[in-house]
Amino acid sequence: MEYSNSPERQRRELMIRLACEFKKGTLQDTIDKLPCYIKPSGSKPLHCCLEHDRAVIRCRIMALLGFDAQDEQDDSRFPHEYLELLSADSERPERPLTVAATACSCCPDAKIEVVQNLCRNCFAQTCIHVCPNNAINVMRGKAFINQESCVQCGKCLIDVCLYNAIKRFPIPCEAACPVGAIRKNEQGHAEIDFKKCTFCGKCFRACPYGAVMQRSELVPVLKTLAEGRQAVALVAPSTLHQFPGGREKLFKSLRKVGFTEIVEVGEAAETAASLAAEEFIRKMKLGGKLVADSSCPAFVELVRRHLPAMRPYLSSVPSAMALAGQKARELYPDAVNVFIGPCIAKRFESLSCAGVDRVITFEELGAILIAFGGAELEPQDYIPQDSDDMEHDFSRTCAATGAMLASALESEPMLELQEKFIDGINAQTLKLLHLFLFGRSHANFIEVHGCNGGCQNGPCSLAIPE
Amino acid sequence: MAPQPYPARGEKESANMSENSKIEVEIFCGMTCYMLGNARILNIGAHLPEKWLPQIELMVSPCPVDCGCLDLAKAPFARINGQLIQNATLESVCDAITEIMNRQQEA
Repeated sequence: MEYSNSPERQRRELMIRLACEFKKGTLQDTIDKLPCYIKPSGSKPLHCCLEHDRAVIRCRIMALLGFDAQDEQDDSRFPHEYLELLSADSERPERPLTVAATACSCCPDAKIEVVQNLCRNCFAQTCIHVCPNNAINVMRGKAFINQESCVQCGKCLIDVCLYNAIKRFPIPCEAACPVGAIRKNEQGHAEIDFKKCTFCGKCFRACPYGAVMQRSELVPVLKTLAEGRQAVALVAPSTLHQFPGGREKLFKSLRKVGFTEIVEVGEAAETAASLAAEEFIRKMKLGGKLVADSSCPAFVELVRRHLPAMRPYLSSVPSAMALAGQKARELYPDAVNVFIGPCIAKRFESLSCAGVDRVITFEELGAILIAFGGAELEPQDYIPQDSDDMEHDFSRTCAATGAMLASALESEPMLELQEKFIDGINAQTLKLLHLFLFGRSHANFIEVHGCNGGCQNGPCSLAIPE
Repeated sequence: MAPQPYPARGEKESANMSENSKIEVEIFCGMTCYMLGNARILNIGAHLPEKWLPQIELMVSPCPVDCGCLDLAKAPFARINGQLIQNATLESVCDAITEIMNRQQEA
């Protein structure tokens, strides 16, 4: 079950307010006051006090304007001054993620600890017996873990204490990151090591304080639309599952808010899958042992930064987004191409795609539709229907390359497809990927989704797929 | 625009269930409410005991005039048996339904 989440709600509220104020033409005057609108005097603070809440919202504004959230700490400048720096042609943020120290709660170091109220100092003392490093002792009638001796092996956690008195206390962002790219710095605040980060967005989702933020391109996109420039919406396949009303209504809404053209990335996904199948057949005929699909940008970055031995096996086929951007550039050379998707890693990937000028998420598109009155929806539009939209063809769903490969291999009876699909990158699946490299797992094609459940469940999804 | 019935996942017909005991759950789905959390609440059928589902009438409603879509601090909205819930969450709507069900079972 996915629970409701206050930082997520606050982030979306801020996006909607910012987009609405922009549409009204009052953003320049009100942007400094947005923290007070969201946390007015008398409201219940989420942090220690309202001032702290408002400072965190100012950090969110900085990130929403595409700046580093740390810039909020520059007392000499107000958000409206940063807003003045932005135009439709503003430079793109190089790193899509930022951590706001103001929002970070400086979680205590990760450790395994005995909850003193629950410990009964039982006669069995199993926890003491299982500890390989003699880190558990009894003090004042309660079990106690000496953190200097504890090696965090977790043996005392598994079915040892029948009163469940031993718990692991994680640092959520660190625990979520599969590659150890986010760590506490000397001041105790989380900090991202961008040499290691794959931009999968797991820390963004995991932080209960919402301290990990995206550097957005919402304002330049709003300015592009407001200036009436030619703008192409590159619509990710998962978009149709996220917005009510179906394909036709969504496209009508996109046109209403100012996108002059629409290019479906699903069609490019079909081309990408077909190219991947051709590449697979070619490589296998030349005696290759493994091909890794390159459609997930978080996986591509994972291979580039953490699995160098897998680089030769990574498919050279460009992603569907890159192909769609290329097509849009050919068709509409003067237009601004805006990719709409649920993914943070796509923001990073797009920096090296000549055909993609901006990336916005489903949340940001939702804010634009609200502000520009683009979503003309009726109650029945929210009710799932068995329409052609959802089952149009395989390319509009995720994880399509394997299906295309299986189909392509029907004409190649000598080649056998041994596909392995990895749903979500985490510590376990990372180990599995190493097994492929050492030839200990039988597969000649691997397809990896950075997010569990595929792109529909990306870090910036609006609705959870059933 | 009238509210539209929304099929709760796992919904089954139950012959012995009286119509009067039905709980009306209205989920307001303007784009604002949808984005601020009601997209999640629409999936409430998956988070309630299956035996309760025949008693729950899940409806999708247009934004009510009095809710004030731009009063973002109070969105999203839901209405259960006529009672408006502000800042609705999947958990708060589940809790409200559970409370009514418990009351009905006690009565």
